[in-house]
Amino acid sequence: MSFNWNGESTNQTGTVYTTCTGNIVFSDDDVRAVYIDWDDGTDLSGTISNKKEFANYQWVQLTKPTGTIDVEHTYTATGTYKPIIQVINSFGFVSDYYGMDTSNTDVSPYREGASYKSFETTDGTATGVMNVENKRVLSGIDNSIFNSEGPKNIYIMIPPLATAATLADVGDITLEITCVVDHSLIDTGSSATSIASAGQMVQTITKTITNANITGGTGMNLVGPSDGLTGGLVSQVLKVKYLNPKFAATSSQRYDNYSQNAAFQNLKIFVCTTSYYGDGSTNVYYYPVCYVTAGAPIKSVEDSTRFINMDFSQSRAKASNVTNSYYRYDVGKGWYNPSFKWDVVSGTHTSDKYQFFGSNTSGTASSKRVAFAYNNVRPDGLAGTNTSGIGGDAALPGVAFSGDATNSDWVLTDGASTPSQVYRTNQFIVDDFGRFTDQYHLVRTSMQPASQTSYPPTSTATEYTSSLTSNKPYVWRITPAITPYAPASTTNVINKMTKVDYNTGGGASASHTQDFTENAFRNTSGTAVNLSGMNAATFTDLEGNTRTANEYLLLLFPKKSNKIFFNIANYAQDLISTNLSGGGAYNDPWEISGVSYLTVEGTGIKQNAYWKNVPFEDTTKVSMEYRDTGNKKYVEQSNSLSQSGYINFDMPLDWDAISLANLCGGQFDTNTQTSGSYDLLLTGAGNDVASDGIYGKHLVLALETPSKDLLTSTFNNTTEVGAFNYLALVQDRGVGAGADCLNIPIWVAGPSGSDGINNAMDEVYLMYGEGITSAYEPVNLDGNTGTIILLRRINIYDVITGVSKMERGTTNSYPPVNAASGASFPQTYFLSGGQGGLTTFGDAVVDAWKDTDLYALKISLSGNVGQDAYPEIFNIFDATESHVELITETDDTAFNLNSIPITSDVQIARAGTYYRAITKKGKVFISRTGDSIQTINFTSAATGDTRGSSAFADSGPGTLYGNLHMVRKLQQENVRVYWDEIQKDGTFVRFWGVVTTVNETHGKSGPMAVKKYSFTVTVSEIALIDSNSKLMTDIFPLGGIQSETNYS
Amino acid sequence: MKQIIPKVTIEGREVDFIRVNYAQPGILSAATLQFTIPLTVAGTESLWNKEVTFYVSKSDSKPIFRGWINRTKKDFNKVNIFAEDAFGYMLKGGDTTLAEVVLDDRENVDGLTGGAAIIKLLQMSELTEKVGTDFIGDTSPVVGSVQKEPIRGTLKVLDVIKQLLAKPINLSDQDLPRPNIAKLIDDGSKSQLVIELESTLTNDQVKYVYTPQNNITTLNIIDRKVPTVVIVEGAGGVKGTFKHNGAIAALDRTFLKVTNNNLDSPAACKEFAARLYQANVANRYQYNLGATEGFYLMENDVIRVETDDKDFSGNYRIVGKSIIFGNGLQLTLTINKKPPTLAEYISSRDN
Repeated sequence: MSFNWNGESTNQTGTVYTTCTGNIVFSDDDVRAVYIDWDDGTDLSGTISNKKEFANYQWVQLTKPTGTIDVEHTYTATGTYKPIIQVINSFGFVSDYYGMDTSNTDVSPYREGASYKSFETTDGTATGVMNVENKRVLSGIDNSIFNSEGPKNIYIMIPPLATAATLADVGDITLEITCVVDHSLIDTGSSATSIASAGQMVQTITKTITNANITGGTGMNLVGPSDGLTGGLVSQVLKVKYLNPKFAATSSQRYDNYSQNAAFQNLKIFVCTTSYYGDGSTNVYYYPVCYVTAGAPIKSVEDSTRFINMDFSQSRAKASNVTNSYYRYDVGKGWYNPSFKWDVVSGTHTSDKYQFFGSNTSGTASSKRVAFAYNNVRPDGLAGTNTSGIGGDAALPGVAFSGDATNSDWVLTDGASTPSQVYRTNQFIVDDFGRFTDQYHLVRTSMQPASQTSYPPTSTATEYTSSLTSNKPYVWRITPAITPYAPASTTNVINKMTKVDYNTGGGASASHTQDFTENAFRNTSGTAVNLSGMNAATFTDLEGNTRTANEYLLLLFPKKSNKIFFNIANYAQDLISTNLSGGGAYNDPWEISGVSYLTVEGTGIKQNAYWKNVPFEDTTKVSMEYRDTGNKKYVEQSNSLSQSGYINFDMPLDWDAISLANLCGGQFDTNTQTSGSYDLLLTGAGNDVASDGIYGKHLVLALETPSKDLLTSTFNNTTEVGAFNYLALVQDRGVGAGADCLNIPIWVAGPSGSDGINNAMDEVYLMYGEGITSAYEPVNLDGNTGTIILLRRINIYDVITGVSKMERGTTNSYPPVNAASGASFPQTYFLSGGQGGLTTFGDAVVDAWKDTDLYALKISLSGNVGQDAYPEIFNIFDATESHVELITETDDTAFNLNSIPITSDVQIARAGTYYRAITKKGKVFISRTGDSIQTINFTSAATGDTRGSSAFADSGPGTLYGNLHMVRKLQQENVRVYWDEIQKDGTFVRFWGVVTTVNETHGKSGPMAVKKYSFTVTVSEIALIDSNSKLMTDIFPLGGIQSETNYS
Repeated sequence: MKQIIPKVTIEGREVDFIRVNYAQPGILSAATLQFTIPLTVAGTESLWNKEVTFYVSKSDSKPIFRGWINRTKKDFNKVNIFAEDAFGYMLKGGDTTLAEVVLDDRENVDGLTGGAAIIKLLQMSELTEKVGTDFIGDTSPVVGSVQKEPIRGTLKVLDVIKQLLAKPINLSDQDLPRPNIAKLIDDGSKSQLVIELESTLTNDQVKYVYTPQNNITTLNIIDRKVPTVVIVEGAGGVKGTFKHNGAIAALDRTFLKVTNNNLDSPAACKEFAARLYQANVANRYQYNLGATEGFYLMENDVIRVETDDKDFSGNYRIVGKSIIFGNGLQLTLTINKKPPTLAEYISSRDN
């Protein structure tokens, strides 16, 4: 009796969950039933057992006696399996158990089989699964740098979002910082604390910055011994409290002065620290730890709304018996934060392609806590300018969190000032209410199973680690052809207008077409999807006239996805500075002007491919409202590619995957022309025709009858052929002369762009423009008979847009793409060079797409971009996979209602919920069971004269109607608000809540009628503020009690 | 300001909805999504068998529900749509038609372990388009599908899966292992069926912490009677009875009678009865937790409840959840504290 596998006579191997077939040959041909124990049953402890109660067995009953059977099985666990066999013959005799081992005590009687083979199963690719519960998280305290690098100094910094005059109303700023302080045993207060032994204590530091030092603030303000941080460095920030988050009126001022209350709107107070590890050099960069504002004055590290838990525990190996060894992860902060900065490695078998997480972020724990604190800012400045400044001008600092005390001011300045803070201001992206815009972070994980003993894998055969690349897109920036070469004669036509990768040498006028696939997957400051100089070239048509063109990103995915994440360093061009400086037209924003997917209809010779635009949501776009008084309208000024975020669209059902060769008639990047299912072979007689004055000269190929019949049976009408959709490749010159005609390309198009065939479908028009001396002379086919062309549908120009199908000839004559190559037509169309001589970009395209079906997505980019400050995209990922989660970091800064006039009474109620009952004899029970939601009601009125041309201008911010406009926006955009209510003892109660309703009543007495309105704020929390505008309490629920827990 | 803006898609296309009810009962039951959309949105479309996904927030990477429409009801203004996830397809093939497989001596899942058998079942019932098995895993311990007896007959797919998952816990009469469960995990493009052991409350990672201050809105408790007299019938009519006198005095005399054919002696029956008593003591309470957070928690996740009352504090296992989006928002988690040594079938007995 023998037991083999899959028809082989040796021990076999395979991957788990792959069906294998056991081939059993019995000693005699009278077997009627077979017992097969597949050797993969386990006992309660998980050990393989052949005992009947644990074995994974089956009986195969046969309808007639036989001497051989094949039985399929699927192993789910790794191991080397040696099945046990027992048979019953047609006489009812039962055999011993047979197996591969010499002995087996689990079954009896047992014998070693004569020719038994084993089956060894190996693991497959694991699956990484990321789960996060609170996907929308409030901005918190990010201690990651302390956690990974040890104790450090901390600093205070205010971003330049308010003018000096505005900040003057803020007064002094006092912070209470509760932190863990390490006291060195070696060298107090120095970096030695971080490398030598230290003692620790929780310390509360009070840091006051005078108003003069705020309005004149620069760089970073050290929290040091003068603030009470004596003899130590901070190893963890536990809580930050902005103690006086309220306008402190003097005896001559009212506490409810609207404009002075409004001064707090854009005030952000950052606590920062340093790290040396931003770019691997010795440069010191500053990083945010947390920020507080007047509307969100307290942040605590243990506030569960301010951190996420990344849960990797659902990740699992392919094989059921393989455990999870290591989890690698991306905390969603790119390389902007030096701690837990993910990296990727290639694996030695694919050295030029990055596939796996490196070990920077790795561990055996199946969860990790992460807090965010406006981290998506490039630490080394826009475009890595660091202290050099934008364009090499140090007075134009580009580092948002900067220690530069000379040029990095805390106050908002316009572009004319020196130094100017505009490049810094535009990295702090706030909305109309002073909140930072939602910050998006994509967190990811991969899992290395125990079966993955070498990491990264050394060969494709051992890739068990879960995939990060299962839907890794190819990322190509495409610059349309810029301008043609104007040849002086017919001998020097240069392929320029037909190529997207001509002259990619850099500079404003050069093509920026480039493969960014690996850059978009890596995580370093030097590996961005560089959009420098985007759309900056002067594009012209073939005759040199200026034309409109825009660059685009071409993304190619192995699988469909409808949510694409872009990791972008925060920078909103001039949007923020323009609006904060008083507004103005914002005319040339960066914009994702379109998202389209490729759909393919028909096949072969009648295949059509075209882009379909989809409506999409763009969260990389930030916006602010601008009152355009000139045109009397509200304008939502916006700028895309300004921050990390995603584009999202409905999943197209007709999105098709297709290869590059398929789009080019079945062949790409080869000099050899082979007819296939994508083309027709037509035979006819050529007749040269004079230039049409637009495209140039063409040949009329009068078809022989079989070819005419073929054409007629293929196409329903001439429109299906159209013009310049099909390419004719001359396969045989026929009878007659024909130098420089063989294998040359000629577009199928009639004179003046008419259809390429006549109505009778017995003539094909071959538009060749003009000849090229000694290379391309279609005119030589004039008078020939029996000329054979290969008619091929070329779809690629419907996909790679912005590139010409023809080059410029001498005068209104346009020879086809690569006509100058003559008989060596390379079939590379939009790519420069030919077989074996493509550009770097061309090689990347061919390697990725030539024969692989991929889903194409085009992201059109508009807006001009300079060379110094531009959208900095560092990663592009599919945001729908199991190993990712999209996190939204929200700034819970509340808008100050005291900054808008409320003209009437304010009503506030306090109430708890109670259980109340009375017994028959009058004993009353009152038990408090909780708190009830309360509201504050405000009433006001909007006035104005709707007549006249100044109605719009007269109703701006600060007017009564302007206030109503703001209240409507607060309700519409779900803005958290606060209201300071003064008490009779001079203290304040601060209420936080949300404007849930706005009721308006328009009076009926004409254009001057008063518009009364009321609005309701549902209260979420309160805090008490003393008469000196300092917080007396933490924040707690209205009517509820303060949290008893604290750090002291 | 936090905001929760849910999203429902049909065939990948976002649709405006009026109301959404999502229910995940757990324990191999189909999750359902009922939602109402205006007639103008989909009044003329054929909706049957269209894929539906439900995202708690529109920015989510993955849906918490992926299913297929199997019932619609139109009136003049709106369409009520009922969709079930892949478990629903394992019971019904998208309609009232039962998703059944015929397992006989010729075609069956004999010789396959639980994980491999489920893959074959899904192939036989042509449900592989609906549910993937890319990382299904296997039961623990690994038990063959023919243990005790081969599965035969015309059976619903889900019933076969239940039988396969029950086999590992039925094997031993002395030491009940943790039950194996199956659940669906969405990989972003497909529902994936996975097998895993029921979580242990003491060792497994706590996924979320609930406190009355932060995220508990209501807590409903079912105080179940604890059986103080447990009678177990084994094979061949053998019986064993366990009484806990102290418990009888404290909790009253309550009977539970179960059958376990794996047991063949009175002593084994009595020991098994004792285990059942212990399991039920620890499983006295079952809770419905109204919460403001926890939309993404999955069946078998372990959570911790921290209240001032120590009776209610502790680790719990998520059994199911429901979410209602309408004018308001309601999230209810069904949790229990069942100890890991309790056989699965006990939970269905409301003694």
